[in-house]
Amino acid sequence: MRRRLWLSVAMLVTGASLLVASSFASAAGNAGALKKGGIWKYGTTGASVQVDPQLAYITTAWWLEYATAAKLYNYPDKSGPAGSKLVPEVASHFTVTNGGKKYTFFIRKGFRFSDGSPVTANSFKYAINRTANHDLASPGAQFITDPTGTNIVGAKAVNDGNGTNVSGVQVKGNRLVVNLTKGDGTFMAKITMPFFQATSTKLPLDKEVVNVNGNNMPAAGPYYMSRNDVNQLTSLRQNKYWKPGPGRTRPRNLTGIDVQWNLNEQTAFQQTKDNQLDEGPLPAAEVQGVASQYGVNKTRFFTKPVNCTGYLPMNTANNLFGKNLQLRQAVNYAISRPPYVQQAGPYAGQPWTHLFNPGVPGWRNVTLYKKNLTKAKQLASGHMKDGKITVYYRSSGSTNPNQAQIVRQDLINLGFSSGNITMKGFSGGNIYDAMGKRGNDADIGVSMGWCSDYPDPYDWINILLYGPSIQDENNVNYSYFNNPRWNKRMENAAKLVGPKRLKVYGQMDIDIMKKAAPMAIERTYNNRYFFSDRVNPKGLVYQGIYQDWSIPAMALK
Amino acid sequence: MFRYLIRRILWAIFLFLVITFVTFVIFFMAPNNPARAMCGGDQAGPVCLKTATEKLGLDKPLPVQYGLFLKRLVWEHSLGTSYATSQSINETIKQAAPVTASLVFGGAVCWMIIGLSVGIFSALRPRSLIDRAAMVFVLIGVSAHPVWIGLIFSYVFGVRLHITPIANYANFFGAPPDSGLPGGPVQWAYHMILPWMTFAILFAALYVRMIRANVMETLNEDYVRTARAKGAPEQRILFSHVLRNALLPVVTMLGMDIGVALGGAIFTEYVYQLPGLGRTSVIAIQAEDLATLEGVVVFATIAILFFNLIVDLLYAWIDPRIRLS
Repeated sequence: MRRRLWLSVAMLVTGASLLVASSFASAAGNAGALKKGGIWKYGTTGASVQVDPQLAYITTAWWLEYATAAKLYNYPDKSGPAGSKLVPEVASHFTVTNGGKKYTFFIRKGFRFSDGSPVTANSFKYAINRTANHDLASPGAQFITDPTGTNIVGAKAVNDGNGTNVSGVQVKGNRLVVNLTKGDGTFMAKITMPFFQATSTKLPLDKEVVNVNGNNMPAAGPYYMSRNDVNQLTSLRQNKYWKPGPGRTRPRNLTGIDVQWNLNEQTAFQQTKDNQLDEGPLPAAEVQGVASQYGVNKTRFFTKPVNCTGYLPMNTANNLFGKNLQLRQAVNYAISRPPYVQQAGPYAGQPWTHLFNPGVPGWRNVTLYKKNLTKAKQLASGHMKDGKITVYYRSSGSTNPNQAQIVRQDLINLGFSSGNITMKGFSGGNIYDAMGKRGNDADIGVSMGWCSDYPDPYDWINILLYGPSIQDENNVNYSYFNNPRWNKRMENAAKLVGPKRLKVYGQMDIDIMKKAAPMAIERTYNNRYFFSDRVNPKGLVYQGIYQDWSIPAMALK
Repeated sequence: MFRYLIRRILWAIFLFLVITFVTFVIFFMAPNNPARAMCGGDQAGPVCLKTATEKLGLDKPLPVQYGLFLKRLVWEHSLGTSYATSQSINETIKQAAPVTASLVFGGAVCWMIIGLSVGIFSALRPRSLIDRAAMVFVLIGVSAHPVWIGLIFSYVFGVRLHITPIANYANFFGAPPDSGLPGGPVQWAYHMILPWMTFAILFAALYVRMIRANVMETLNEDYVRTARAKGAPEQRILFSHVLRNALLPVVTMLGMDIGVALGGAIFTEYVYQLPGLGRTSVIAIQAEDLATLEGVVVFATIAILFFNLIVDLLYAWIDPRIRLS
């Protein structure tokens, strides 16, 4: 009896100890939790971006859109592979019928716009109607009117100005039905682009929203845009109607974020250093100093990969590189990738030899070409044609002209005489217009690149190298690569879905760069970030899909 | 006088047409494609580029585009909408012009205060230590670029000493609610101190030299000697006889320099991140946004032509020889 009493006392003490320990553990856990509240001040040298959900397109715009948008399916606020897995958001689930041509999304209740109005299936239909609208001229239209890719029934007609209602999109109660002209493996990746987020009918169907003040552009995500003064200030604030619930599992720490546009690089850098801005520009000359002072990816300086690849397209429509695989491969062996990358400063990227960078689904970690001038010269021997080459390069800034000089020297080393190399400079993005015009006289382009619009290899291989899509101007197939055998392989790959699709595309990337070499891949890219001392590094979650920090996850100290 | 007025107005209209047309031609002579900005820049796809080109009206011939621009300006009093941001350019100008005006007129007050005080003192004490120091100031002011001066001021007074803000503009009439940005007259002046000083240094240096020379020259005039012989007090001689005559050309020059200063505002606005007309122009050039650039040019042209017209008319009124010629 006495022994049992002692046992009971011992158990009681142990239990009490565990209780105390658990409360300490819980307290410790809370101490590690991220602070709620505060306005994140972001300063950029860039011009302000379009904020209308159906017109916002470039990187910074989408960074903001991912914080304000509620989509059918979405990417979680997680870094690495976990962040690239689509999860249901406003749609609880979806079905695919009619041979992959009919998608039915089931819309949840509980999502509301920042003005209090509910999100319905019609909110998504309205987004598609706006995107397709002829007068609004949304850049998103190209992603739902592609005859070789995603093509929603009736979207092309609306985009051509015939009507305003996309007939292939129907609303039946809480169901959104989207009919495609043919099955398409990229549809889910595309419908997750911010163009197709739940959109309030407060936004005019055919007119862009430019200035935002209050709730004239409601959003259904964790945040909404409360203010937009063009080229000055853009503010996001919490959507008070967004409460955790089914589909609403995203974090939300900050009260809001203020973006100041068009800042002077040096001044804004000083402001960030002085904690007047929480995130600001990092001049190239300051990168190494900042990295040494704060370390890399630790406290205030971070570098993260971008889903972009830099390359030199070789124009196969012209005499020099047309039907001249040996010379194209020779260029791949002759170019000096490390110094080319170094021109952009420390931590700007790494040398690369095939199209799929580590952000592209299906990519493989291989090195296809190691610099070998002897091999390059052997391959080029007898294939230099008349020995003349025209190089298009970007003349803006200091990095691009320096890269052009490196390529020029590589071409001289390969065997082109300096007098036979014609260098033509283009400022800004004009090189893309020049090289995008069929019949241009470029043999090779320098400092060109491509970034992912949506996470699917189709956006790389089929968009950049599919021959039948070549037209008179505005081409993105700058190599004018048009090979029936490869075209067929691309068409077949586009029909696949799931892991097999990624496997086939991953292999095709390697094969095409080795066996056809329509371009010489040079590099990958990194973004470099500089933060104030107010920023809590534990709240920094790098979302690989839109290649920036998740705003809902960010936190201040 | 009426015929002179008509002549001047017609001349101003002709100048306006020439300036706006030249801006149009220069923009389109350089290879660029504003539609690309609307389609994701380097990422622009063919379908989007075609639609954006039509939307911006860039598919029409240049003279037609210019005609449409003039028609819109004259009949609708509209400068159009920005290629890059789709914002009304009238609205852009309305927001930016007060910032530039704050900078230019505040800067002008600063450079006149510095120029007058240092210039007069140097003239009264030629070859003194202060005179020599003033000449060093003149040399630095004329030689140093406003961007460099701005960055140095910003670093020393803003970053190191924390006396002034490093940059940014505070709206005179208050900041937008819930923006966390500074606003109100006190903050406005506080944020403008460094820009004013930066802006004023170049002009103050030139004015110091000119005022010094004019005052020294006037001090040797016969009427000043006569005044002294009559026993007038030195203070009265300086203010009533010397300055009144010595400052006449300075006032004329100030009127002309305010126009020139609009151009110089670009550098100061850019360093201190002031959202004025100068910075708007730089952004428009970088974004290949002809519509906004043309809007700023039109506004600046009208402003300068208007002030020049007023000055010309005043001259003609003051000096009949001008209108007769």
